[in-house]
Amino acid sequence: MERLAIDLKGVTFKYKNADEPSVCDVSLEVSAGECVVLTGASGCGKTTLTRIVNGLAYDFYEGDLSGSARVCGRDVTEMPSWERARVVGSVFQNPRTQFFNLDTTGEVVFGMENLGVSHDDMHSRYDRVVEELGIRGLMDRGIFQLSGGQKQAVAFASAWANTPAAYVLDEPSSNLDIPSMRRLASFVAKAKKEGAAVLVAEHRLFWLADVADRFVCIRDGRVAGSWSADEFARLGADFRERLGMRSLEQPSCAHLDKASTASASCACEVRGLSAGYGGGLALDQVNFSFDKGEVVGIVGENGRGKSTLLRCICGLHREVSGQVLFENSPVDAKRRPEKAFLVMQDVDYQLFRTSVMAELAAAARRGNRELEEARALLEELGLERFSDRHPASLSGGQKQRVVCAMAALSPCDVVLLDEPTSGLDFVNMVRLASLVRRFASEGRAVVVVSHDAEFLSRACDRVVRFE
Amino acid sequence: MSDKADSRLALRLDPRTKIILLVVFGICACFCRDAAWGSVLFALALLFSCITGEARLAVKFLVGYVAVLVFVTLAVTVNPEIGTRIALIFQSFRAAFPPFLMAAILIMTTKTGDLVAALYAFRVPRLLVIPLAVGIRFFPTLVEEFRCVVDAARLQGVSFSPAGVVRHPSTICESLIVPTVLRSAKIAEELAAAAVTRGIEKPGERTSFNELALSRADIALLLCFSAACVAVSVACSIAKGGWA
Repeated sequence: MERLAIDLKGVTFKYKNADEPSVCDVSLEVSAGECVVLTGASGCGKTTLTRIVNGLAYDFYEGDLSGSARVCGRDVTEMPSWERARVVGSVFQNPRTQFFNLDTTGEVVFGMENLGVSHDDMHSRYDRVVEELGIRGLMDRGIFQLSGGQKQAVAFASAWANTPAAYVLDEPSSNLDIPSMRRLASFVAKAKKEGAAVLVAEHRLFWLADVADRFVCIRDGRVAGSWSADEFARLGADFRERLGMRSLEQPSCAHLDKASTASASCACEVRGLSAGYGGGLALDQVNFSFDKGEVVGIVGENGRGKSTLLRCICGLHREVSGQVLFENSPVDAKRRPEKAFLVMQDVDYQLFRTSVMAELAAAARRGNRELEEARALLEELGLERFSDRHPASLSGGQKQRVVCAMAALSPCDVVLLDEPTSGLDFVNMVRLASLVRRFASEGRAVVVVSHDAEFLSRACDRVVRFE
Repeated sequence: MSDKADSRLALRLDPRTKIILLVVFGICACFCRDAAWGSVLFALALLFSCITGEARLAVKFLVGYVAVLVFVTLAVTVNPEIGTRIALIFQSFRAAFPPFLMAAILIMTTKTGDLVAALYAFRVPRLLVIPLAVGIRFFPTLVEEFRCVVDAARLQGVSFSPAGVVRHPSTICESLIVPTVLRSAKIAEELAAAAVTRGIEKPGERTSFNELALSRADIALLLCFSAACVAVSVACSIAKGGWA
């Protein structure tokens, strides 16, 4: 194996229908056994760089590539996609949409089957992968039964099974909880020990603190800085934040572990709530309340409980027993959408009209507010230049702000957010935090389910642990 | 497609058996389009469904079948002129139930990898196999996505009650169709990219983790059901006077 597993020199790439190149004259080297993290603001080009390495960039996503891109000494553009598949393993952001098979075992062996590995080799490699990554318990199951973290573990195993020389991970932690991120970090460490190079594009850096060797900041398609892990840890917060990078450490939220200051303006109370799905109860006799003007964070190990709680509060899920009271009077599930607005984890589902202004106008109508209010809100959120654009053409962070604006215009006094910062870069995370605080200062009650400590420490008044 | 570990499955069948029987039922359904013989064919499909452990699926299809029969009979009784025309339109739909059920069984009891291997064993060109596999894989995801889309619409006060649908049909369509289409496009792209990075485009031989093998049960069921279907088709043709 060449000492340099990944070698990019002066690489420039422009997507076919783009006006400008996404990546400009980037040179990057990753040695065998090394882990390099690419980070930077959304749209900076880090995902494009990962695509150049695994070959999706000019082959699958058409565009013009110039410069030299080599993996293990071989030019990436001169290999057909299946040759690249042998040397580069890829793990993507969304665990749900990278599974070709519907069963986990089939998924792990998928790459080997495609590449024509012999039956015996396949079985021995399969056994090895399962042993090495410790995922025996996940085999022979349907993907729809798995959590996001489990799916991502299987996706990694599927890449591992081809014994690639390099791994490319594109924001793999986006939908994961803390234990799953730790497991992923352990896989990266194992991959490094096997001598593979690992290139990770990420916003959230803390889970990589112990496995990354180098951090590279990308800005506007160019390398803005490169630091070893030690150097990066010593960077000042101001400097880091100016470059749009998140912290390596998780701030403590212990100071937020306080009881609610009992006030007369209780916005919503949940009493003895039990709710579940076919298989069992996700919520068991839960009591929880929050007041107007406060932002409450909900943390805890992943399980369906937290999301189920939010869904019950806004009326999307019918509870088995218990009550949900708004301003001290119980409200039936059917009427709750008028009281509580949920900003979903993926806001794509919530935008369907032809323009941003149309979405806000509809929300304003529902909330009995003037159109002027909607326009003013757009301006305040810095979105007025998108007012005639189709919502689908906006970036993730912009779409989220549109949905938050819809929440602000709605008749709801309670705003719920479900993991709003997965996939958000630093600047947008801060924007969201201030938006959430604004909701509170306007007298609304906000509940956020999140495991993003940086966000929680900026946005919340108190944090409740959910077991 | 199947995601179960086949531990309690009544019979673990080779996907090729199910594919062949699907084709057999499909062809015979063309010959048995009338209600009486078509129902016999459907009963055979129900039997197969129970044998392969998909009794619940059989019940769902049976309910649908009976509903169509009842609807058509009512239509004819209530207004013979229009009713007969309606009956004609629904005839093909009803006749298609047996092969639909067989297709559903195939999809629900077969793992993706096994299905792809079976299709290649039948020398189906790669250009057809991959889109077929992706399309089938797409549906459960689509169902999940649709649920999320419906939730989002409810949050914005879009009412799915009959009254609501009548009053704002365009909002209902917009709120459901637009996000679903957009999500589907995104999902399809991501699925394809993930498959490409694992070598799906490689020409030449593809190996299989689970080697396909026809068991005695496969052969027995294949022969029995094929014979039964052919018998029903022949009987139907004779009854209709097609053969002397």
